[in-house]
This record gives sequence, structure tokens and C-alpha cells, in this order.
Amino acid sequence: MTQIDRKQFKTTWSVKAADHVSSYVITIGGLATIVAVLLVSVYLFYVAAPLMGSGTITGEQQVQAQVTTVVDNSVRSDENSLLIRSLSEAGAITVQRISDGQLLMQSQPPMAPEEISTLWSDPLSEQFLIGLKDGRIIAGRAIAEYSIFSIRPHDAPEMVDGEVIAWHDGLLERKDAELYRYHRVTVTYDAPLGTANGNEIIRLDRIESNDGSVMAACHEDGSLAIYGTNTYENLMTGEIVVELESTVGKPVSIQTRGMPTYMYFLGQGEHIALIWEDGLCERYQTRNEIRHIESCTLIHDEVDQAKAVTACSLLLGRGSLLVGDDEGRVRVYFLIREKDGSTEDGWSFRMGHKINSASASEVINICSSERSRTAGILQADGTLRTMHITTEKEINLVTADVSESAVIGIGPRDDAILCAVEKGIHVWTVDPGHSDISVSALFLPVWYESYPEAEMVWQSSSASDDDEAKLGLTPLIVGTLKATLYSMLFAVPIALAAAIYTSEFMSPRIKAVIKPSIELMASLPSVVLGYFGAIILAPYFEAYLMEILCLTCAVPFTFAVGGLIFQSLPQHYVRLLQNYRLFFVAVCFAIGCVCAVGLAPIVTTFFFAGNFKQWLDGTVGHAFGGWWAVSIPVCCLTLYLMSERFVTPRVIAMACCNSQAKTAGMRFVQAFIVMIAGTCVAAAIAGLAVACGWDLRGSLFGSYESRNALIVGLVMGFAVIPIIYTIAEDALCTVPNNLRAASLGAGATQWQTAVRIVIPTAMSGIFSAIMVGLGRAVGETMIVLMAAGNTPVMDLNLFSGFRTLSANIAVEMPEAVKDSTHYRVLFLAAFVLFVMTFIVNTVAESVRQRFRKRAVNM
Amino acid sequence: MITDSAVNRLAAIAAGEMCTPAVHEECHFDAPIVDIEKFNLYYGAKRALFDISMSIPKGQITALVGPSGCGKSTLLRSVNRLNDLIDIVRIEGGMKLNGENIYDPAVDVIELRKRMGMVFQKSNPFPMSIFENVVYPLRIVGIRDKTVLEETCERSLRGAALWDEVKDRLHENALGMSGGQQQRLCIARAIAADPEVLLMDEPCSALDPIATGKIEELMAELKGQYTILIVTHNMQQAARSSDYTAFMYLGQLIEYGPTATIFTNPQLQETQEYVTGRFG
Ligand SMILES: Nc1ncnc2c1ncn2[C@@H]1O[C@H](COP(=O)(O)OP(=O)(O)OP(=O)(O)O)[C@@H](O)[C@H]1O
Ligand SMILES: [Mg+2]
Repeated sequence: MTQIDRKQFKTTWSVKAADHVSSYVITIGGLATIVAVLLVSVYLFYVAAPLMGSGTITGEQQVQAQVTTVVDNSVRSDENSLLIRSLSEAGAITVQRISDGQLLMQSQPPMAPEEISTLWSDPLSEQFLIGLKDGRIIAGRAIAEYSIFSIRPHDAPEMVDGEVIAWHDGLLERKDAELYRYHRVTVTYDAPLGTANGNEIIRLDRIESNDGSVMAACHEDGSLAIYGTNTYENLMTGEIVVELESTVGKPVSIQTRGMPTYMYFLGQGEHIALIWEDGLCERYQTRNEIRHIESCTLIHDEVDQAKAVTACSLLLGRGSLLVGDDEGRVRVYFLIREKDGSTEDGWSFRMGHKINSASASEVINICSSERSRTAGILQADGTLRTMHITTEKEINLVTADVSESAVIGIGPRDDAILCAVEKGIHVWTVDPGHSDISVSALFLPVWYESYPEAEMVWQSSSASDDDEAKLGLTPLIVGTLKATLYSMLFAVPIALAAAIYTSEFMSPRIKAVIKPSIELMASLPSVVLGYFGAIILAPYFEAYLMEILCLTCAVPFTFAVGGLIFQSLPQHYVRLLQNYRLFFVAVCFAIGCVCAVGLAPIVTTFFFAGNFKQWLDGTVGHAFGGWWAVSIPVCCLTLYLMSERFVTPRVIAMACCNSQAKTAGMRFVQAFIVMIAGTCVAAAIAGLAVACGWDLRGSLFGSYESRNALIVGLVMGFAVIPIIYTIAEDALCTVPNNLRAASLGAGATQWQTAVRIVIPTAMSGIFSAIMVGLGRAVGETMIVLMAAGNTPVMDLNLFSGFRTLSANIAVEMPEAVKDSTHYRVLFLAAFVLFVMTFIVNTVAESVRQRFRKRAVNM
Repeated sequence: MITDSAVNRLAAIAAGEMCTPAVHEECHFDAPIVDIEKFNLYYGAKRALFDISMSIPKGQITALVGPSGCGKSTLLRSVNRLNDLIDIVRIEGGMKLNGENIYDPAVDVIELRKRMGMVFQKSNPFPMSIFENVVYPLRIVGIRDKTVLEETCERSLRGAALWDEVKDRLHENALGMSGGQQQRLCIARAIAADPEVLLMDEPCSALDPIATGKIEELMAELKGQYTILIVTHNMQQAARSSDYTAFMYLGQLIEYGPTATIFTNPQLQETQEYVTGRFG
């Protein structure tokens, strides 16, 4: 042999270079992945983070008073926070510039101050009413608006961009050379409307309804009148005529207790509420006749009793009544439909929120926003808070010097807080932030207006502007978990069983065909699966629901019976028949299907009062049937497994000396006894459950919807099975063959080898397979989008739809306005989804590591 | 130096010719525990065993020697039908255990394997505790009685000369033991269910001389109680510990006789060459 030149074995330059390059590429790639993932989560969080902040105060101004007292609810600023106006006791509107308090305009009311008996300003719009001593009513409005000029008006002085000057009775603002805006408040007073009742008007309210505006008035004589205005054109003269149609009642309480302090139309004007200072509230029906419906007290609850109502207001939409008391609390009432029918029309007042204050000083004034469920609360100690009522979130807090007659207001875009006292009007410009969002509102029950109790609801868009968006993420999280739960319940057993079968029992030749074809299933686009579930599967499920449910029990049952028969055959037959196993499996399956079809009507009649869907709805049948039907398979299975463990060895021991036929017979008798016992135990369990007052309907079962968790579970199961299958099968295959040889050599069956040796050894791989499948199920979008119905209800009902975080993002992101609350909440939903998958993966990894540690060294 | 006749015979076998094995007089047993008759085995189209006929005496140690790839392991695995699991394997001829045909289709393979213990070339303890490893053969037949399990465990571990080393850590993971201990654990597991035959495939190939010595002592102790069929590459070991030795080459049995004769005065030249280490 020739001596080999050592130099030849020196690592060449190119190998070294390739080594270096590849190690760098791998490091950079890995780091880049981590950074990308982090960036995504940081970005999601960055978009969602502003949701959590409260409001901020951006400026503060003091406007010199022109009048000493202003009418409640009448202090308003305009959309650009340039002008401020208020209604005086004399019925005049005063308009001032916010920045320096300059008086810009004061309207001339068409009546003398002595004629006025009461003034009313709408808390939610720019309308006001003046009630006169002779029983007439003057409606008026003070509307803030601006007109646009594209050239400088001829009588205006030279201006620079952004400059605002007083001009005529408003302000002229130059945006740029071609855009001038003239901001002003236009005040109009309508002609007085004479009422049939000529008595002095004490209280007024007004509502715009579909058929014109409706007014309510309390007259001096104690009568309560509803005036509908009827406007028409006189055909002869062309003159517009306004007529009043009245509904009049004489509530007894007004006779006995005097005038109510507050009077409000509720909702669309179908009810009217009269509130006295001592907290009594009476609700009257207004349609056709004025009729008393209910009385309640507004300042007492189980915990606190205040002495007097000191301030009152309505929230946007006139659904919620805010009542402030002398101890600093504000209670929020709304009408709730009562089941027990304690009132004539089925509705009654219920306290939904109670807003406590740190100080116990009296609430002087309450105002509400025109665009959100925000209210301002002013207390005698000068604290002025703006609160979002539904979420009870404090938005801003300011303090001012106040007196009893102080009146507060909120800017039209929630962008200003106004407080009028004798000296003048205090103006804070604010940024309300995302006032209706807080952590608890997102994840915990929130008591929305008119809901019977606090609930977690997702309803991002609503039919009317007055309805608030309900942005509770919990129903979506529950929907996500529900989809995951049901699809994993379906997919994990099947995928693992298939993986074990292919790796442990299948011959390599068949495996070479089966494994790639199952893996091919993973490449099915989920939109196809979703379509399949929604369009093809759903109608079948709807039509053959009971048959399909029976199938899930009947097929395993026939398999078990088949297995028992197979076991009981004499040994040499078994070994001869072994090669035709698959054929027998197919036969068992077919028999199972036939049994299921035959069984379905019987089960329906016997357990579910003849109609399963109606039973699910809760209209027919009894809870017992459902419990029994569900418990039977569970009990039979448990009892059978127990008897296999404890009784079978004895049976075999007893029969061992006798013929095999005898053993087989005894095994069958045993199985039969187990089934009877299982049925009885199931009945007992069902009885117990019913005695405890539990009903499966309402938890696991419930009304049937055609797109439901069952279908999603099945279809998404199909999406998840290939993933779990592939990874689990690979994990099982990596178990060294010498372990199998050792086990088989010791006389274990293949099944024992699989269960006792292979599966425990491959546990870490199997677990990560399940977790990868879980991750896929949590994030899956298309299938749930198409097959889940997307109703964001929150239950575990197998037969109802749901909406997942991912589907919700897909559905709503296109219509969300950028940077709106909705948009940010959707980003938060994405972040929550990210966190959920992150948690799943982290838990998976740590558990996997633990399993792996056990199987180390192999 | 290899003599001409030897070279010729081996060359003939390599060329695919059949040669008649030289089976000594002493190796025709009346009541062999395993009786191999004209046994052939194919891996697909490849023939791995050629007409092997030999009988294994009860209660003795029989060694299988031969160059790598000659089919020793295959033959050993045929005895407890572990080869069944390989899809492509096909067999001809027969094999009897106590006069009962092993390859009869009506034979319960699982029961058959329970009557034999097997120790593999590479130690293969299960990833569980030492105790569970040893009692595995009992667990799979459904024995749950704790005292029985504990007694068996102690007896087997003592039998495998491992008891003193591990008696304090029976419930620790078996994978934490040394290679030699692991192999002895596998032996303990193989003898736990009281097998009739112990099949050992190069049990000492990965062990140091001390561990090897222990296992050889162990075999000497087990002898009589169990029949041992051992494959080894270590001629000294075969010479020291076995009663009978069979020499195989390329799937054929060349010579089979009492160990002393095989190592000192074999009938065939090539056996002589092989056992003295001059080829192989
Ligand atoms: N699973 C298998 N598939 C195909 N051929 C195989 C298989 N196992 C073994 N063989 C072949 O059968 C022949 C005998 O192999 P075997 O393992 O019995 O040899 P051996 O004598 O035990 O060798 P060694 O001393 O190296 O262990 C070899 O040629 C080998 O290539
Ligand atoms: Mg070998």
C-alpha cells in the first residue's frame, strides 16, 4: 500500500467556506423569524394599545358670563370648539367665542320674560321649548353651522391662514386662500302654538318621532297633555298650518303630590316618566290615552338609600334614565321586559348601573353626549366627571368652582366639557379616547341598555345609530375554543388511531400508498372543506341528524361485538381468518350503518318524544330522555372496560378447563349483562341529573341550527387529521425497532407492544402532533367562516353556530374604519388570537420537553 | 495459510454450490429441544439460509459462529419466529420445539415466543423503570400480583448478576444504567418468564471483559436450567463457555460438533482456519 499524502486530507477551502456561509444563513434565518414574529405581535399590540387609555384634557378656557343663570342642558359648543352658546332664563340664546369670551350674538325672543313660565332644552339635540303662562308653547332651535366661501367676503379684512376673527354675528375662519368658513349659530323661534288647555305650563318635553314631533306638557291645573303636531299646507291660501292634537290625562299623583320635578319621554315616545324629588317615578303610556303603568323609586336600592333626586338626564336614544342623588351617586335605569308580567305592558324599570363617587357630595347636574353613551356628572364639591355609562369607565375628571345652579354640557364630538356658573362658562377641550372600551368591558359581562342582565356580547354594528356597539371579545374566544374543542374531539382519536395502525400493523407496501394519500388531504384548501361542510354536509346533517348520531354509537358497538365473536372463535379458525380481517371490518361497518338507520326512529320516539329537533328546542319531551340516551353508551363502555379488567380473568379461569365454546358463551352472557346493567346505571344517572335540575339542553345540547359545531368539528377535523396523523406517525416510526423486537421477543402481542412500549416512547412526538393540530384548529379561518354560521353566541351547544376570533377578523376587517374603536378592537382580537396560539405552543413545547427527557438516551 | 482444499470448498460455497455439512456423531440427539430440519429462509429473492439441519440439545449451551453476514442472527430469529414480522421473509423446511412444529399455521406465535427468551446484540431496555423492565414478560400475560412480580424481579436480577448493583434503585429509569448493566438487565428480562430456550445474539459484543466475564459466569450458572443458543464472534468465548459449536458460512452450516472437538480437532480444514482466526 502506498503512503497516503496527509495533505490530501486537509479540509479544502470550499468546504470551510460553505460551512461558514451555511451557519450564518441559518443563524440569520432563525433570528429573522423570531424578529418577524415579535414585530407582528408588537404591531398588533401597538394598534390595539390606545383602546386602554382614558381621555386626556388638551386645553382649558374661561368664558366671561353674559347671563347669570342658564337653562339646564342648554350649554353647547360647536363641532370646531369655536363657539359656545346657552339659553337664558329670558329665552334668549347667547353666542360667545370660546377663545376670548367675546359676545358674538344674542337672539331676540318673541315674548317678554314675564310671559315665560318654563324653559326646556333638549339634552340630545339643538332644540328648545318655551312654555308660556297662557298655555302656549314656542318651539325654537339654535343650530351651529358654517357656510363656506371660496373667496374672501368683500366686507372682511385681510387675514392669514388659520386666523379666526369675529365677523357679523359669528366667526370667520380662513383655512387657506380659497377656503373661508363662516361659523355661527342660527336661532329660530317658531310661531307660538296654542294649546287647548290655557293653563300655565310647568314642565315640558319633546321628542321627534316618525310622525312629526310630539310634546308633553304639565299644566298648572295638574293635567298632563301630549301634543302631537300636525303640519299641513292650506290648499286655498298656501299657508302652512300647524295643528296640535292632544291626548290629555290627569294623573292622580300630580293632584296629590304636586308637580313632578322631571318629565321625560322614553324610547320613541311611547312612555313618559314623571319623577318627583323624593325619588318616586311613575311611568305612563302615551298612545291613545294616558295611562299609569308602574311606579317605582329611583334612589333606593338594597345597599344605599338617598334622600332626594338632585339631577336627572337621559342617555342617547332615551333608553336610559340617569338619576343623581344627594349623596353623589348616579343610578342608571332602563326598561326591561319582565317575564313574570308584574306590569301591564310587561316592561319595568331596573337599575342597570350604579356609579359611585369618591366624595359623598350631592350631584348637581348631569348632561349626556349626543353621540355616545357618555354622561357628565357634576357634584357640589366641584368634581366634574365624564363617564361612559355602559362600561362605567371614567373618561375625564376636572374640577371647577360651582354653585347650585351650575349647568354642564359635553361637546358634540365628546371633545369638550362645559360648565356654566354665574361667573361664566368653563370650557375644557378634551380627547375622549376610546371611551367605550376597557379591559373589563372586553372580557367580562357588561350590562347593556335594555338587557335583562350583564352579558358578554359581540355586536359590532347595529341597526340604529342610537344602539351602542357591543364589543365583548369573550363570545369570540369561546367560539374559538368551541371550534377547537369539537374538532379536536373528532380529529385526535381518529388521527392517532390511524397513525398507530399504519406504523404498527400495516404492511410496508400498503403503508407506502396510504400515508402519502392521507398527507395529500392536508393540501386540500380549507375553503373547499368549508364549502363542502356548509353546502353539502349541512343539509345532510339536517335531514339525517339522528341517523348520524346513532352511527357514532352503532358502528363502535358492532365493531366490539365483531371483535368479541372473533375472539371467541376457536384458535385455528382465527389464525386462518386473520388475513381477511379488513373484510370483516367492512362487514361490521355496514352492519353498524344498517343498525343506525334502524335505530334512529326508535331512539327518537323513545328518548326524544318523537321529534329530536323539537326536543332540542325544548318544546317537547323531558330532560330525562336526553340524559339517558347520552349516558347509555358511556355507562356501557365504562362497565365493559371494568368487567374486562376484573371479571373476565375470573370467567376465563372458571372455564379454562372446559371447552372453548363454554368460555365464549360465558363471555357473551357477561357482555349482555354489562349492557343491561349499563342501561340501568344510565337511567339512574339520568334520574339523578334531572333531580338536580340539570338539563342537557342549554349546555351541551340546544336548538339546532343548520350550520353548527358538529359540522365544523367534522370538517375541521378533516383539515386537522392529516397534520396530526403525519407527525404522530413519524414519531411512532422513530421508535427504535429493537424495542419492538425486545417486546415481541418477550411474547407480547403487537397490540401490547404498541400500547406499552411504542406509544409511551413516542409520547413527546404524539403530543406535539396534537398540539400542532390544536394550533391549526385555533387559527383556522375559512372553514369556520363558511360552516359555523358566524353568530357570535356564547354556549357549548353542539348544534348551534358560533363565531371565532379569526372568522370575525376576516368578516369585519374590510368594513372597519381605520383607527376607529372597532378597527382597534379587531386588532386586539388578532392579538388575543396570537396570545392563544402562543400559549398553546409554549405549553406544548414544555410538556414535550418533559416527555422527551423521559425518553432520552435511546 | 489456508490450505487449497479449504479455499476450494469456501470458493465453491461462494459460487453458490451446496456443500454437505459435517455434523459430528455426538450431535445427533435423541430428544433435542429444538430440531431444525432442512430449513431455508429467503429475504425476498435473496436466500439467506440454505438447508440448515441441526438439533439443539436441551440444557446445554450451543454456540453459533461464523463470519459476519453468514446468517447466524437470521437462524436465531427463526427459532422464535421474529422473522415473521419482516414482510418479505419466506421460509421452507421446518423447525420443531420439543417435537412440535414451530411453523405450523395453527401454532400460537405469541405463546411460542413466551416459551423463549431473547437477548439481542444491542442492549434494548425499555424506557421505563428497572423493575418494570424485568417484569415486562409477566405484565403482558396479565399478572398483577405484587408479591409475584417482586419475587420474579429479584430472582431474575440475581440470575443476571445485577441484583446487588440495582436493588436500591429498582424504580429508576433503566436508561440511566451503564451499557453492561443494561445488557444484563435484558438478560434478566429474558429469563423472567422462565423460558425453555434462551436465544442470545452476540450478548457481549458491546461489553468490556469484566462484564463479558460476568455474563459468561451467568451462562454457566443458567446452563442446565435453560437451553442456551448463543451467537458469538468471540472464539475464546465460544470455546470457554459453550458445549457445542456450529460453524456457518454464507448461509450454510459447515460443521457442528462438541466445542472441544471443534476447537482442537475439527473434521474440516476451514473450521480449523476459522476458529484459529486465520480467516473470517
Ligand atoms: N431484514 C433483512 N432484509 C433483507 N436481507 C437481510 C435482512 N436481515 C438480514 N439480511 C441478510 O441476510 C444475511 C444474513 O444476515 P444476518 O443478520 O443473519 O447475519 P449475521 O450472521 O447475524 O451477521 P453478523 O455477525 O454481522 O451479525 C445477510 O446477508 C443480510 O444481508
Ligand atoms: Mg447478527
